[in-house]
Amino acid sequence: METLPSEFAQALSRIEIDTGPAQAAQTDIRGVLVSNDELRGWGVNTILIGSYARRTGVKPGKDVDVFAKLTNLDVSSEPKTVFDLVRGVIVDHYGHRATPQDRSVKVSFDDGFSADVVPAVRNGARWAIPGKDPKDWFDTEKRWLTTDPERLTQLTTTRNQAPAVSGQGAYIPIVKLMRQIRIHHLGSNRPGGLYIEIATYWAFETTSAFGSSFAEILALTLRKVADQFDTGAVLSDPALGTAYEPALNYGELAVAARIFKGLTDKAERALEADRCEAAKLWQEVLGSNPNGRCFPIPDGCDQYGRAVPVVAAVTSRGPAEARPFA
Amino acid sequence: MPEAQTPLPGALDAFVTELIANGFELVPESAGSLWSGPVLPCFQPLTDAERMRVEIRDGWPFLPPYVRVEGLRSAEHYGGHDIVCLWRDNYPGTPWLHWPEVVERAEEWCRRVQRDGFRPGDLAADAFLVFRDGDPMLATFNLSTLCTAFITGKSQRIHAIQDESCCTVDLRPGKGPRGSASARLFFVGELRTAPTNHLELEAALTPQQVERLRRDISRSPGGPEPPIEFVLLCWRNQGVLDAVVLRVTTGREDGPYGLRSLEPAPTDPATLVNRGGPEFRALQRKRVTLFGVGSVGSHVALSLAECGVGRLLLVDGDRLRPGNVVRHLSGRQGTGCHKAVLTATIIRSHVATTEVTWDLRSPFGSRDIWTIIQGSDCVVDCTGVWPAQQLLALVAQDAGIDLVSAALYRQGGVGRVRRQARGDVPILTRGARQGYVQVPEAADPKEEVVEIGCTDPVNTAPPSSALALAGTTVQVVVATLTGFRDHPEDLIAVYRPLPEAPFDEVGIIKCPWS
Repeated sequence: METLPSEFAQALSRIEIDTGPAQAAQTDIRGVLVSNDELRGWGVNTILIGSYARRTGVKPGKDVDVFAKLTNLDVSSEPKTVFDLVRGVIVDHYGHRATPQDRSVKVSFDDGFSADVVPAVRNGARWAIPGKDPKDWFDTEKRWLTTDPERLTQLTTTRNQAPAVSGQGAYIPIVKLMRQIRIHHLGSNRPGGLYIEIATYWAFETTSAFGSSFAEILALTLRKVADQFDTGAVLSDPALGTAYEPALNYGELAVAARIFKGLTDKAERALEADRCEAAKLWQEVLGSNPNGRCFPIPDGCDQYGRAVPVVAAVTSRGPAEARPFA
Repeated sequence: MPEAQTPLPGALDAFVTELIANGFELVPESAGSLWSGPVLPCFQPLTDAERMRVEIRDGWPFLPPYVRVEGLRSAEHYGGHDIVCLWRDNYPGTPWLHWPEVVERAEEWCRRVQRDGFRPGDLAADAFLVFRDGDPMLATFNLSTLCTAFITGKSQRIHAIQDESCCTVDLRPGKGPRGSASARLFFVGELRTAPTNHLELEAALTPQQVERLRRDISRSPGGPEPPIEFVLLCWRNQGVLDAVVLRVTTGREDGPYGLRSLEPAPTDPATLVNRGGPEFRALQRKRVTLFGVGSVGSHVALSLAECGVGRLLLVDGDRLRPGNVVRHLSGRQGTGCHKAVLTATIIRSHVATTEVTWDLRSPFGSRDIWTIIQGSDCVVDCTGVWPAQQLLALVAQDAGIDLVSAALYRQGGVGRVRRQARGDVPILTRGARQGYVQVPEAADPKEEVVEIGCTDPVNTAPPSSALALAGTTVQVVVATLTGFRDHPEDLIAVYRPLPEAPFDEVGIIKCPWS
């Protein structure tokens, strides 16, 4: 079985995002928010949430979610009041770089990077963010939506303890690979990245024998996720214990099932193929990102899955032979 | 930009992974060829640019990537389009397979720019590539005839003759004839970085030269003195003379004039013989008489001239027949003409430093041969005719003149080069001596080809054998002329195995055997 460990390591580094800009953006935004007296009185603090916080994000990774926790407020507060102040402070500071949305404010930074700032108030042991539609803010049932991003981060960390590949937790790398696969094959269509991440979580939760390589684990995960699409079983949000919302509709499930079944077939064929053919199949599965193909061709193979001569690196300084002339 | 073509995509992918790990991103629409990333720390003192680019070229990994950094200050070895010259294209190795090695090379480059300086061997006189705009024509010139003295601030009138069919512009001294283009030569002394546009050109000139240039360009086309169409800028860089030839363009929106660089191609005598080999100058003083200007001899004659032989006398009474052309130096258009004349004409079109003459006889008289070879440093026998071989060997021995005799045998299966110089066993006595071999006649000769008009059967030795033998013959002649005895007296090359030993394997047989 060809599991291409070096190539999978390269693929992971190719989809890895640099968290520096996200941290810098979060720090900058926090500084702006805490400089406001009223927000300070509300106990404002910020954390990164989403895929950046869980370390499951992949390139291009130009969007980050910032959770503005208002630790002294709870769901008895008015969403409009909370949102208006947060929005006002951010817009005042960032000017044209700030774009208010329904319940968050998007702040643009250099190189196309942006941070989405959403205010949150306490809801018991969890948190709540303003309802998706501002019209809902006057509805006692819908004005706040419960969320627990930190819980999902904890679950992710725990889940990443086993299985391991080469001494490193396999779950987070597999989530990244699944997110990359989704981006390439589904693009802007649903299911989104978080859905895939949660589907991957349940795939791991319901598996006992994984294999010892990224290739085996990924193939197995693809099979499980494809089956989940195929059956249309309700996906549960492990952080909240409730059904994941918004759920996929029938059409979205059918399309996703077809695509992921096809990818699973390729992945399982790759496990049976020779090295070069396997690499070609994984290339097709993982697709590409702004930096090109995500899965590298191994030395000794070409892009058609055939074996070619291996180039020997000349590591010594200076030419190894006289300069040729014809 | 299309994707770089490589037969080893695995090696490229590994390099790309390293680029990404070091903060590089693919430039959109570049199909994997162009990568943008943070400028290396070693470049930071030399530029304000914050980012740099790496371009993967066709031929990876055997051609190095282009490393492009904008705005490098005071940098030599900094090519057109912001390319940092880290390696020559013909570098025999692949030390750029991994990003850390590229970084290490860039750091060395920066050290040389800032502190250590580049070695003269690092220099490349390709300033025309640095220029922003290029012209497709080749500019030929002989600097030593164009400029009598290279003094800083020099400005000299020259002219250009354009040959559109050959795509060349030939620069010549002084004012040219009607129909030629006016031009100007400037010498600016020591210059470390070549200009890349007209502003940098003017910055390199003295104020008087700038005034001269502008005046020359702005002259009225219909006036007595037409405006100049070409500029030849010369300078020295660490003592090495360099030049760029520029075509003046007018009617531009971005300035009073523009410039496009032509590929410069010097025609001074030294340049024309740069590729003639290390013995060229020594051979200039030598005189060779070559008998037999046929399929082997014609190629020997040209090659000896190209290697530098100063005087060459070609002796052959034969004329070129249509059937000879496939092996001869001359082409079909020479049919009916004397081989010696045809070969001499071709030699003169190749080499200006060889005085070549001819004798249209095929002499067998020993006195005639003696007279012909007097004053020669070496006699070369490419007659391939047994009686002539014996006579030439005897007469050369008597005259005390070195001889090299070459011939093909067994329909081109074997070639033999025999040297008869001072200290060598005379050719005519070798047959009886131990250690020398004769090429035997075929035990079962194949049907020979008879051609109308030919006395003897046609020798069907292939052109490849003739050319191979000619090459070896020239090497032996050159060594003999320059006093080297590196070759054996008899050098037999087996091009095609014969049934008889020791000719039954492709290779070289050296005689005498020790």
